[in-house]
Amino acid sequence: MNRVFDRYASIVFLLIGVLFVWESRKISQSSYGSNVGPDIFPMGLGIVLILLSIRLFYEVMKAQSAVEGDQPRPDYKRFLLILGASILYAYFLEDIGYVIGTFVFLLFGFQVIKRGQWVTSLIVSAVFSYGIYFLFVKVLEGSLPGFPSWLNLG
Amino acid sequence: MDALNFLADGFASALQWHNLLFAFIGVLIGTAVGVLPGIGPMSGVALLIPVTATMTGGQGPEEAATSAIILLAGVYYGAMYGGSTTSILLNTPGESSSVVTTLDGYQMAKQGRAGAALAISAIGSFAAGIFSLVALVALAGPLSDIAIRFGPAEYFSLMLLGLAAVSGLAGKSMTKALIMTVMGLLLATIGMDNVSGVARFTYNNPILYSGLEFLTIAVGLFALGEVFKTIINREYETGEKARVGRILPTRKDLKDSAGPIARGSILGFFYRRSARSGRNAGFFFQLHHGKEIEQKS
Repeated sequence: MNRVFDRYASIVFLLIGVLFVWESRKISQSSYGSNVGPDIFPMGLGIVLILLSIRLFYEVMKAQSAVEGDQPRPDYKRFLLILGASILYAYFLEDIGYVIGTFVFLLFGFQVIKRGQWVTSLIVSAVFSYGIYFLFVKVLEGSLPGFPSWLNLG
Repeated sequence: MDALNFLADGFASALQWHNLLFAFIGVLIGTAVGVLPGIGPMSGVALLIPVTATMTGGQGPEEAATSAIILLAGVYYGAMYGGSTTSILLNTPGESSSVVTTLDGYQMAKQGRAGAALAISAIGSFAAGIFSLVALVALAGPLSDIAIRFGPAEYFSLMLLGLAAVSGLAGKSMTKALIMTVMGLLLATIGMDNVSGVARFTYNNPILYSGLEFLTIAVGLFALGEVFKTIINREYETGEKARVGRILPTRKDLKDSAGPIARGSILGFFYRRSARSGRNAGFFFQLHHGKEIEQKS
C-alpha cells in the first residue's frame, strides 16, 4: 500500500491501542486475590499495539517516498455506496427479512456497479434471494428470518 | 488383536453396497453444503440430520442407525472439502479450517490454475484423511496417554509457536503483521474472560458475552475485503474471467505438492490428536513450514 494510507493506519491503530488500554482499566483488576486479573491481557496487548503503531509510523516516515505509479484513481464513491448498503442490509435484516433485504441489496449493488440492464438485475436478484431462502429453509430446514413478521407469509 | 477384529467387522458392514451408496450421497450433499460460506462440517451435519432420518427410514432400526452414521460421516468429510472450493475460487473461506487454503489456493486460481488447486486440495485431504485414519487405528492407545499429559504449559507453548509462525507469513512488513496479530488477540479478549468469568468490553450487550466468532471475522475480512478491493481498484472493468481450466493437476504439480501433503498429513495428525483448541494455529504453522521448504528448494 502507499505511504499516506500507512500513516493514517498507524494513527488509527495507535488510537485503538489507547482505547483498549483506557477501557481495560475499567475491568476489575483482580477477581480472586491474584495479581494477574482479567485486565492484564488486554492492557498489555494495548500497550504492545501502541508501540507497534509508533514503529510503523516511524518506518513510514523513514521510508523513501515511493513513486506512485499510474494506478487508476481509487473508486471511493462506489465503495462508500456499497459499504453503506451492506451496513443498512445487516442492520435491517431482522426487520424486513432475508428475502426482501437480499433482493433490494443485490439490486442496489448490481446497479451501482453497472447502470442499466434492469431486467437482468431484477431476475438475478429475485432468483438468488428466494433460491437461497428456499434451499436453506425449505430443503435443509434451517432457520432464517425469511419474511418480515408483519407480512404473515411464514 | 481385538482392534483388528473390530476393524474387520466395521469394514464388513461399511462395504455393503447400500452403505457405499449412502457414503457417496453423503459426500455429495456435504460438498454442496460445505461450499456455502459459513456452513462448516459441524453445522452441515446438524442441518442434515433430518434428511438422513428420512433417507434411511426404510430399513430396520439397527441397519438404519449404521447407514445414518455412514451418511453423516460422508457429509462431514464432504463439507470439510467443500469449504476449500470457495476459498480457492472466491477467496472466501467456507469454514475456519480452510482459511489457510485461501492464502495459496486463490493465488493459483488467479494464475488460471484453479482446477489444479481444487484437485490438489482434494487429493491432499484424501491422503491426510486416510493417513490419520490408519495412524489413529495403530496409535490411539499410546497417543491418548500423551494427550492426557498435555497440560497448560504445553498449550501455551503451542499457541506461542502458532502466533510466531503467523508473523513469519508476513509479506513485506513485519510490523504490519505483528500489528494484525496483536489486533486479533485484542478482538479475542472481547467477551467473557475464560479464567475469571469477568465480562470484558461487552458494555452490557448480552450478545457480546460469548465473544466474536472466529468464522464471522474470517469471512468478513476475506470476502468483504476482496469485494471492496475489487470495487476500489475497478478490477471488475478490466479483469478477465478466471477459468477453472484443466482439472487434473500436471505431473509437476503433483510432484511439487506431494511433499507438503505428506508433511501436512503427519503434522496435522499430531496436532489434531494433541491440541484440539490449537487447531488453527496448527494449520498456520503447517503452512509456514511448507513455505520455508518451498523457499529452500
